[in-house]
Amino acid sequence: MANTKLMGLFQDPEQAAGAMTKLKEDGFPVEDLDVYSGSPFPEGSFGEHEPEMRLFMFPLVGALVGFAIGLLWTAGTQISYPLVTGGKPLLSIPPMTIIMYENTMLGAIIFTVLGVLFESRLPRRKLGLYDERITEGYIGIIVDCPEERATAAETALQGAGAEEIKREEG
Amino acid sequence: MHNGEHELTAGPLPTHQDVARDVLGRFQDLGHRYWGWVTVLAFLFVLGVVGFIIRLSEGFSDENRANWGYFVATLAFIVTTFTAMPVISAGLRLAKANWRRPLTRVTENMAITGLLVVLMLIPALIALPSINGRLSIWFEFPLGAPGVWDVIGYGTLAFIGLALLWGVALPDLAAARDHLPASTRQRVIGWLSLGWVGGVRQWRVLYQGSLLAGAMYLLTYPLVQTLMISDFHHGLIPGLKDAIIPATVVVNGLQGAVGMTLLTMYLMRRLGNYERYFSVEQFWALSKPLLAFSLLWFYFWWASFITFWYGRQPGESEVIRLLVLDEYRGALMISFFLNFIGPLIALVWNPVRRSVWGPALVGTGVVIGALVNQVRLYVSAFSVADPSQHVMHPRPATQWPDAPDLLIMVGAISGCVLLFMLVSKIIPVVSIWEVGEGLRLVKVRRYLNRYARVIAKSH
Repeated sequence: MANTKLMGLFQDPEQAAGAMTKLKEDGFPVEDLDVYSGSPFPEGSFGEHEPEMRLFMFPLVGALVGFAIGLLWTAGTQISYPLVTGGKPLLSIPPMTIIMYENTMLGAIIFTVLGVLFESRLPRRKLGLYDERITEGYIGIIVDCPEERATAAETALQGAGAEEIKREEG
Repeated sequence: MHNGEHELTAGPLPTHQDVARDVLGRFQDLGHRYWGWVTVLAFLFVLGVVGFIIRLSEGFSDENRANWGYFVATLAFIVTTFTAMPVISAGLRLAKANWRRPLTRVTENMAITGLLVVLMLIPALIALPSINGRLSIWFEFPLGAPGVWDVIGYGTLAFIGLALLWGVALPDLAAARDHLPASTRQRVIGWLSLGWVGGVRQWRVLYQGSLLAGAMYLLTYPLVQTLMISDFHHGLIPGLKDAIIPATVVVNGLQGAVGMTLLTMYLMRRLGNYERYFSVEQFWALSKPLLAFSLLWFYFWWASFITFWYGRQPGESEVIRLLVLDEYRGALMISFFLNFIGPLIALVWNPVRRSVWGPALVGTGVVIGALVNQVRLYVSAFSVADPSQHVMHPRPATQWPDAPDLLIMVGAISGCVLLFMLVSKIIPVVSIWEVGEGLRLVKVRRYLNRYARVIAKSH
């Protein structure tokens, strides 16, 4: 059966937090609830589900890739075309360090940008269930539930003081 | 958001909605004054391009390398001030300073100047002499040094700056998308917002991402300053062997960034009526690191100078004469006063620190001093006829700017301000979400016979 999405719009964060509590009490899994807001709230303010993220892995991998490219690029070329200058060591470490550092940072930021886009599921072509008042400070409580439970979710949102409830059929 | 404690009352603080409406209202209304400034700045920028074309027509050769000295000094000035500004927001966000919230966007919007820096870098690199036969940080490394690696280094900084700017601005782009009337501008902003809705996952990612990108900007800025001073100054002056000069210019960059931030906030107060956001609190708080960086300015300069003073090798004596005692003594004195003595005398007084005009005035001085100091460092280096010597001989005479130099300097600086103004009409100049978040964490409470502001720690 298709799922239905509902959004209860609250001006008061206290009421939004109350709605989240009520929804959880009514048996709606916390993973199916989301909170839209115009600015971030401290973790757990609404008792929301903390999404699993691995953003920190992206810059780490990017930095390693960048470092490896820098190392291969500099050491590889010098070893492939050995030109000993003035009896000095073949590998010129100080300039290699600069190039490897540059590549490390470049790799890290490229992967971070990709990581941010991937982890935040952006870009989105359509906003879906949304209200423009959210960027003015309203809180939107999103409930993703089977159609037969939509009325119960709507009652919970209304009971908590939602100013408006929007619905989107899945 | 509001001024110091003297303004505290039991009355309600503004809400997120108040801030959103106020900022977006200013953002929407471009006004005649805005376009007037844009026109003036664009005209000055075009004059700079004319100056650059004149310089370009004279070509690049070892004989006329000195012609490019002021161009490179201007490039270094931009790197030391405008492009250094995102370091402020990155550092303050990592330190979780609550007072940063209204000013982070101003500093991040300046990341756009990284594009101009990369463009200006290309002719500056062409003007450099070959690295063969002279001292440089590239030794005999042949693979495109210094040009390719300098462009990659500066390009990386510019890319990080733009990623930071765009990423942190996504929620405010969404706010502008939602509330601006339908227009081409609104559609562009809507496209740039990437469909942001402000869900829990998006906020967590934004928070971590902004810290990561900020940390990378902090890590890359010293690299860029090191490349700048090594390739365009240190490697061109025979006898100059200064191990701490990369650290010196990084500290100078931090000082320049704070100075330029103070100046920008002051101008936005006066010309853009942003008094609500840039209050005494921001000026007072920034004046403290400015004082610290001013003391460090002297410490680093002194540490370099004393080594040469007691070394007294022939090459070292010539370097001191060129940069300190003779040809560029005047420039050093101006910089010494504006970057060290002036800030020290002014900012030790709390009433000066705790004002809008005091830190703004000192910051303006710091910015002017930074420009003069870049002239001292880079014009002198580009004046040296033969960088491959062991001892500089003869020492080049003081080089004064000619008409194309002045046009380039005014044009490039105007170009930076112009870019800032243009980007500020795509991305609101005050971060609505950060200020909104901060307001929620602040409560005014009665404390004995007065009111005190209580700020919650959110993490």
